[in-house]
Amino acid sequence: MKLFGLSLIDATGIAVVSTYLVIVVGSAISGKGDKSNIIFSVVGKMVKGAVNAADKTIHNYIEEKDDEMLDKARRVRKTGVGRKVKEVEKNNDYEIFM
Amino acid sequence: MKKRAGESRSRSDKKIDVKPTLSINLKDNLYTFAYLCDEPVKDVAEKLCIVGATSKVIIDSMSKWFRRNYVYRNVFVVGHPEQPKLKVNYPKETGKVTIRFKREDYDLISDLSHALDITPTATAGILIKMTLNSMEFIQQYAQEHLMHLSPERKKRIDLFLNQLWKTNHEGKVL
Repeated sequence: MKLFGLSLIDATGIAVVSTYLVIVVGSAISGKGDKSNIIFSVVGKMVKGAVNAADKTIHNYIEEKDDEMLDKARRVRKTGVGRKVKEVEKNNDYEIFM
Repeated sequence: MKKRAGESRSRSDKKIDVKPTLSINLKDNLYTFAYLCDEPVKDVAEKLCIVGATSKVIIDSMSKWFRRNYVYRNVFVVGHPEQPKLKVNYPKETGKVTIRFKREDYDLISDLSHALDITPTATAGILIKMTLNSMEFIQQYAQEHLMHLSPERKKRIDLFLNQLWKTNHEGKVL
């Protein structure tokens, strides 16, 4: 198996080295401190960012589903019969606008 | 209840304050109508409420909202407790009018509010709105209460009310 004309081991080696260089050079440009600490902090930040993004996505999804379920429950409760979900028509006969 | 020494006794015919919330437009219209009738606003509002609460025209138009029975002038109106409660919607800009009812008049308004299942204050507001908007009611009201006015003033009232009803008929908010 070959990737871009290189063997799998070579490609993996080059990928690891280039990632390491990108992290080290990038962190050296942006900050100060020990290399190993910088790598940990950069990796930590990346992981933290990914976790935050995933958390946000899940949170949005749950909220969306919650709203849907609430809306459905409300409609079912109002219409009531036979578990049929119908749009509740607003009845203006029992409202007065001052 | 025993009164403490030095505390004055309240009058037996003490009036009761009711301050209904009205939209600014409705309040303006009530003030204009009172000015044209040459009477204080509180008196006109009080009359409209009392006459409206015993008027067939007004009660017929309100009877669809009755959740309890209502009796006026030997007429019995049946209420339906299973129907939804009347919801009173107010616009953003509102104003209050102070009305002072005699005890027996307040009891009448309270009976109507009980039938509607809302507060007496809201009932007074609804009565003012419905009476001013009802052409038939105002015609009856004018025959009973506005006949002493000069022809010129009557004509001005007529013009004002026609303009008001025309505006309402076009679907604008009162």
